Amino acid sequence: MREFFQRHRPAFLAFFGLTVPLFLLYVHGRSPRKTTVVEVALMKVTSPVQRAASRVMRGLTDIWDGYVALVDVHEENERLHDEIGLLKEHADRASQLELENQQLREMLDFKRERPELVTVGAHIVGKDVSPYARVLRIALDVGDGTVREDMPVIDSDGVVGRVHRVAGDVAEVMLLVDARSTVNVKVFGKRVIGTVTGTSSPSSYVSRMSYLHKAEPLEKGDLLVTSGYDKVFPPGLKVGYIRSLEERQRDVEYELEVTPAVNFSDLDIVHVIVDVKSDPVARPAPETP
Amino acid sequence: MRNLAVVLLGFFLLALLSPLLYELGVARYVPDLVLCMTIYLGLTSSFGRGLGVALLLGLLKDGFSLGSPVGMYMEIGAIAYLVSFRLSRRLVLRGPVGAMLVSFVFSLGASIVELVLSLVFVRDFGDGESGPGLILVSMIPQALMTAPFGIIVFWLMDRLDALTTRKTDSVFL
Repeated sequence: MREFFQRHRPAFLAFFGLTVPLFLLYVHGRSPRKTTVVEVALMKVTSPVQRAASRVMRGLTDIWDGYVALVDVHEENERLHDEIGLLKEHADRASQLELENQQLREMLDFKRERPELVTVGAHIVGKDVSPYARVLRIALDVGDGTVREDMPVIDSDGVVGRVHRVAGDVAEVMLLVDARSTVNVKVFGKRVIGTVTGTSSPSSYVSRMSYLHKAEPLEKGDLLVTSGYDKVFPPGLKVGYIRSLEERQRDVEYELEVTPAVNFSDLDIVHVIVDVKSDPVARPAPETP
Repeated sequence: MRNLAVVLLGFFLLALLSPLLYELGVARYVPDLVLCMTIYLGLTSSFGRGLGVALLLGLLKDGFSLGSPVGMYMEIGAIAYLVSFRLSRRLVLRGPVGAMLVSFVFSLGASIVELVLSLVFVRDFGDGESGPGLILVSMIPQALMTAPFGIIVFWLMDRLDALTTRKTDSVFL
């Protein structure tokens, strides 16, 4: 037996090497499902390093912005430029803080408008290295199992996406524009309901919505809000605006291109909706652009 | 020692790549550094250990590829390793052009394998035209992005070999 194994060792190893990943892929390709032990272990191993690398990278960016860009200045002006660099760095930090402050203020206003939504805050720490997915990794302010898969993620501008996987105080968010993402929406102020699907487009953040029958005339710029029918997103959250309308089949099928309400390239802080209180209060209508 | 160093290098590169892309806002095409490392392993390592390291690197990439299901890059890594190992018996690779060419071809192959595995194993992937279409459209730019990094990764791996195995000559460059 041992001799047989020794003789065919490369074949056994190759078989093992090809089937183990396939088994993992089979287990993890299913959806919806809970985050598995393997995923938790991987997230626990990669997240601290990713967080540290993210900090180092931000530091290096600051140094680049503050000093290295000034290397070529004339020697006589070096001291002056150093001071300018320092002031610039302080100003950058101040504007960064101002931006963060503004985001938090907007979120506070949003929470006042929607007191029934119970949220936890999170900072973005990384993005995926696969070019075919639109997923962000976030560090949660809580790590006690409050956040679970499929919970909605928002910022003050609207829907960001939903929780894809969770491990302790780290979670992955599948963005609204990921091709696997779907959100049930209605056109604000009109009786049109549909499903917005992501495109994972590598060149822009854009989603699509197709629907049958033009029940009411739709226009560019119309606001789409969550309908609440998908039981994932609470109703009334801004999803995006109609960018273009295309008639796929005359008077039967239409396809819309949707610009998300959230600017994904500018995200820093997001909020996970962990609960919706059962006694919703009357809420003001969302603003249209 | 060499295998540990390779895994650590892969871990380091993946950890740097993710926040670097986020900070720079580069999201379109990502060089597949781990694939280049796997090709190098296939061309230079002994079978069993090389395959183990390739699987571990694939698993690490699965950890950093937030959107993909675990096992996807492990499988791609295993296939890439086996193909490059077989190739190492028939192919003599020299110089940066060779490193670029082999990285380009393997990157194309990896995209095709990713497409097939996604269609077979990932639920909802085939819905609409976004998933498969996206991979097909992106595979050539993705391979072009990976190819020049093949030279850098091969050079790094050569240096790592020199440090950990006291080898003095360069295999590829």
